Amino acid sequence: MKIASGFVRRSVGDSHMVVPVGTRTRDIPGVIALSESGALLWEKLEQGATEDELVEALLAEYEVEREQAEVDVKAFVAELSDKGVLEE
Amino acid sequence: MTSMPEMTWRKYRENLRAQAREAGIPIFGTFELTPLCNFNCKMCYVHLSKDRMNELGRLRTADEWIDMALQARDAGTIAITLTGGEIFTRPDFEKIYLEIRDLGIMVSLISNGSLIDERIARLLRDYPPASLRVTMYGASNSTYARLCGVEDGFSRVMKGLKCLVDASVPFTLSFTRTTLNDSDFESVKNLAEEFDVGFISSYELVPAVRGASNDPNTLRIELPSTADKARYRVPDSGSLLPGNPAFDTCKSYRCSYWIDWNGDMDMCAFMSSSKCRPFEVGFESAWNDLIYKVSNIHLPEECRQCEWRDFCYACPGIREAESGSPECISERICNRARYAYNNFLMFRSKGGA
Repeated sequence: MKIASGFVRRSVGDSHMVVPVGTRTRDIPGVIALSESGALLWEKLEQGATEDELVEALLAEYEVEREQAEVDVKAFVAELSDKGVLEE
Repeated sequence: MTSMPEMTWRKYRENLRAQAREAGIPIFGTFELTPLCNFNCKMCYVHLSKDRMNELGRLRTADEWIDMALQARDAGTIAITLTGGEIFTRPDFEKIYLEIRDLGIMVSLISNGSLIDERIARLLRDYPPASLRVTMYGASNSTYARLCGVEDGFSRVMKGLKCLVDASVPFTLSFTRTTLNDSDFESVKNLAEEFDVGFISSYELVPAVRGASNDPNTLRIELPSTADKARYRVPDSGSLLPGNPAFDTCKSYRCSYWIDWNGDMDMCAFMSSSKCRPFEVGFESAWNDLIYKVSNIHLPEECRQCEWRDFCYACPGIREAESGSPECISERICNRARYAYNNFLMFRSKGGA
């Protein structure tokens, strides 16, 4: 799965966000705020990644249990899907 | 581990502002695209005639603004407000607007509403701005004629607002209170309620800047209610911007900038004493120059021990517009602070909080 077109990832200081562009702003006004780990997952998804690859990315970057990483990735992917951000 | 932090936009924005201020990142910008306007409001501090504009400089092209936005984005800008003059007098507005948005910058718009037609409303419906603020100057054509020097001004604005409503484009209304339109205040406020949109009003008129001319002294209202509000506004001085007391009421310090129609960058619309030239030296270099210059602006000596200080809304920008220097006091502003302070004491003596 992959991030659909129409989003620009931005970072200011320690803050990470995604700004919808083009007609995307009709569906998503404002910005999508991301935590540091969210920005990491988003970056992976820009290039295309499976849920397993996202879990591995979290495990490589953070001291977190695999079960927790899996829960977080599922929740993140579900939220992005709900917002219509992901494409296969 | 939460990948998407839950917080309101206001709180998120203030977090960003705090980080940006600390690091000196220019996250918020304003591009004043033109000093030209189809209205001629008597209190406007920016508006120029075309002849006067040509004497003072030149408009930047669409490509120049877009390139400036690109440079600004790379330096950290996340939001830009496009203002004028009147932004919709520019035939290349659409190009500027769309291309800056596509850089991943949130774009807000300020307009007088009178040039909004079905085409512009469709544009803003399909590509919504982060916010759209329409400034109203009255609730009748006669008020617009008196204050803005135009015929059918109110009718034209209402037509523009109807286009926005028909296209479901969100907007807010603002209203600047003056001696020539204050009797329309309630009507405009009611209009906002009818449209079910946000409403803000202000009464602060600023002397003209950058070659413009206006007449704030005869237009300014000093309502008792103005002072009543002021007594509740006791800023938490010192907590906002450690390091430079001159800017302790300023939200722009080290995180915002204003680039005027002629290409000068300063911290806000009212300042020009710290100006830098981003179109000549590049955005980042101009920004670094600007934050260095403003860091050397000091609070006027008279203000340091002033007992009215917590009731004073003066900032370097207001001081500069009023007195010509960001480090000089203005007797008018001092009197306002004293008035607010005395009202506060009276309020407290009657048992107020």
